[in-house]
Amino acid sequence: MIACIAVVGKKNELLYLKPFLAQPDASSDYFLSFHFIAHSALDAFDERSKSVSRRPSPSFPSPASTNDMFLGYLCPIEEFRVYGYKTSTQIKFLAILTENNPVRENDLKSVFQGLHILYVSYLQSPFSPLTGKITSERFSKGVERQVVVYNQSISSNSAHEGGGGLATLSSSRLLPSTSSISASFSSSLTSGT
Amino acid sequence: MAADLLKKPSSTSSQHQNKKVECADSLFDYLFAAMIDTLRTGGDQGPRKEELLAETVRAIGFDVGYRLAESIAQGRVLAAESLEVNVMKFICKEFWIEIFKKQIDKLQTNNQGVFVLRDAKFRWLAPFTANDESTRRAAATVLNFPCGLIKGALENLGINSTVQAEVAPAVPSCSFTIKIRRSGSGSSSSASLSAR
Repeated sequence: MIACIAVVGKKNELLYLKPFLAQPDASSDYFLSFHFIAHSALDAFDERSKSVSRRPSPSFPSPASTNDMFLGYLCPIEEFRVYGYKTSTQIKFLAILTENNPVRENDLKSVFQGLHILYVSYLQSPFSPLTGKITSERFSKGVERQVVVYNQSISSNSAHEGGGGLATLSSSRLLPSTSSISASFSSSLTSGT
Repeated sequence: MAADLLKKPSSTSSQHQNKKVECADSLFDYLFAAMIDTLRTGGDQGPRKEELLAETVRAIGFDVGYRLAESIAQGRVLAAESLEVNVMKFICKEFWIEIFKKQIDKLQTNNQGVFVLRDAKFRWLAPFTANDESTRRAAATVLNFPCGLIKGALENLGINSTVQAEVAPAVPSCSFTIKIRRSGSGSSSSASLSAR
């Protein structure tokens, strides 16, 4: 499940962040914790893109080839797994995933490619600023669509497979409707920060 | 060429690169001429007029180049080692082909952060046939736009630079001199070159 999508610019400034888990309560911890995760993941990003750009070392086998923008699995943070994608113009996309479902890298890769296309078409608009926060409605909707498609395919697939041992969060809570509130998730989030 | 500058943002569902909106080259030529003319006759008419005009045209070029590079570099991974050379090749090939349907004719470098790009038949100088002083001055004004284009594209690909254009003796030919500004602890030899 994708819990959050973040876009980070050339100078490691946050351009866009959107959580997709149901908000546990009205506190601001929710956004803040994802901010925290995104920032922590940036270090792993730098390390990883360096190791990818060199020849792949046997001690750190990477699924991503040298000529790939998709960097794959970056690091675990709290109860999430962080995946990354970096364009040749140094725009970084982060996907923060919950651990309860198996991750399908190919699907995730196409989500990232979709995000990249969205970003390019966002920047093609002469009215969007070259740097700074992304406030475009169209971009936001596009990101949402990508994530919903991925999450639905994952949840339908894991239902077939009978789910994993870790599947403690029900899928209904992970859809981007912000109305449903999960007490167990809220406690895990706040204890995490 | 004009098609790409005026490309509509494609819909998010389809592959961006497969969807190019065609439009006439001449349309861009007229638009470009009208833009220069409007900027020249309108605006500040003070003693710094020429300078301001050049700056404005460069700024427009920078913006367009930055956005265009994002789109052209979409399917392309530029290797991190010897990034500068890779980026220059990208500019000379993909970027130039996208705009002018041809490569840069000659790329030279002193290996110290200075690159010279020579185009023997630059499309946007094609209307300039006479070879007198005023023509060359007008051509220099026009060349501010591609200077900005190159600078914008380089900036987006992570290279800070200054770009100067020179009109060659035979008019449709011109060259662009790119000086890379390396920040911080880069090689010190290039630091003195990049002063502008």
